[in-house]
Amino acid sequence: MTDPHDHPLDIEAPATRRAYSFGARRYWVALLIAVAAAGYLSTGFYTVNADEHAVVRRFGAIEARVGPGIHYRLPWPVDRVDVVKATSVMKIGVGFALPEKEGQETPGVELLTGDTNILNVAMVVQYVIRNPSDYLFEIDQPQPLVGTLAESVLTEIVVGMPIDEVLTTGRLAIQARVKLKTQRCWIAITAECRSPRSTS
Amino acid sequence: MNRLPLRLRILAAAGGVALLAWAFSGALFTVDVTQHALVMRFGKVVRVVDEPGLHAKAPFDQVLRLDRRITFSRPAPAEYLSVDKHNVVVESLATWRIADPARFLATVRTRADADVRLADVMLGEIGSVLGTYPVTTLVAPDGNADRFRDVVASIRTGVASFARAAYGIEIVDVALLHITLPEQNRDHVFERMKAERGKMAKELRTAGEYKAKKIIAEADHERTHIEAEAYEQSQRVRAEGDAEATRLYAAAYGQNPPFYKFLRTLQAYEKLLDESTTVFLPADAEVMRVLRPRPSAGSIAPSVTAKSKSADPEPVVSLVRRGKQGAGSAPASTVPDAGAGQR
Repeated sequence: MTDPHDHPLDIEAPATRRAYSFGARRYWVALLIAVAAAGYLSTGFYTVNADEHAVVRRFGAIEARVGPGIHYRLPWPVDRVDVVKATSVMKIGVGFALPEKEGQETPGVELLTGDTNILNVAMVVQYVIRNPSDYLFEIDQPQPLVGTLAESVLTEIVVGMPIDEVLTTGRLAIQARVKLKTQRCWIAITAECRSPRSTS
Repeated sequence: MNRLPLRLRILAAAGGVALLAWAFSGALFTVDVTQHALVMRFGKVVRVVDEPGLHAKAPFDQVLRLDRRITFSRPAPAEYLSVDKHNVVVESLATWRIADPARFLATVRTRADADVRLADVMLGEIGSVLGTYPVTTLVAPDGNADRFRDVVASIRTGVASFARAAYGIEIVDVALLHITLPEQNRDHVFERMKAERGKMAKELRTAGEYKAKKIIAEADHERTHIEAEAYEQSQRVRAEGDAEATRLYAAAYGQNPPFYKFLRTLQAYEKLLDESTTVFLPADAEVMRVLRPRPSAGSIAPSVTAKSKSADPEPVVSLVRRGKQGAGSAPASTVPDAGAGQR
């Protein structure tokens, strides 16, 4: 490090002094770095609650899908964790925003029936997330899309039915068909996601 | 000379490390699973990376990321004219994603822009498709799922081919929703609905009244029938009872005809004679026979005797009189007087 020919007499004292101070500083720096590293690594622990599922992404690619419990991932910027409610039932209004409070009037949506009558229909879709990675990473706004798909299915069904059937005998059938067809639409759309990616 | 090279060397080392770090960090980039990454060198797209994960590039290359998730656009509702000149207001939904990032970047760039372009394409396509179908293809009360689907499918193919070629957008799905009538038709529709409901209510009411009347008539008929049967039965029972009574009477009287005659006579008196009765009869009238004071060679004495086992007719008359008095005092006196007067 130093040139021994310049100050032969002076060589010992500054060197030792420097070495000593340097060693102490090195010690503290090492300790600091160790603590910082430990702190940094300890941020990798996370818990997933009983009703949740988590998806881990490493550098943006899906690494693992984990269930409830305590888990470890590499800290930022390597791994990222997204948590979704997997078992709880979500709900969304078909064509309208659900009221915030319970017991409030649901506005519903106006639809044309097959015999050109106008009806106000209030329908609510309830769903659970079956595939968290699809829900998180394949669809931009999954919640509104579910509602909108159900709305299009409902429109298609109601516009092919006379009003009396919608009001009386067809109610349950409409519910069943909206459920079935919305599910089918969703499957078709998410299947589209998994089709081979286009490369250009 | 000692310190300067040292500092220089430290500086050089630090600079070298920083340069290396810059080169290293600049040479690596991550691609998220939700993204397309476009590697741009001086503004030109040199590479599109779709595989998520860590990737390498030249440090001076730039990375532009586009969302590759499926999203949807909802153009504002618009009014269309069907081939049979009916107006319908239709809202539409296009579910899409970026299929060709380079093309998308060259033509559209942002998602908001894509929404606007797609809305234009959708409106045009829906207009031209709906213009070739009658309105009953969409709106019919017979469960027209197939025809409806045909319409939507032809809209979808039109939009999809155009959007793919022009904007690098892949249309995943197209749907129609909120099919309604134009605002100015709504009042008319509500009027008609009201009239229809009113008519239906009237029909139902009429049918109900008819049914009620029918039920009442049937019940009346049944009542008459039951009453007639009951009357018939009562008459029959009564007749049987009468016959039985007559038979019993006949049997009873047949045991002693003279006494019967006598009894009947007394009964006749009881009926004929009350407090204010004045009867004029020939003295030898059959009815008065018993009241005659003198015993004649009538047939009563033996009969009375036969009944009471008494040989003397006189007491019989007095007995009758007393019996009369027991029933009522006035007739008892009147009748003999009348009888005397008659004599």
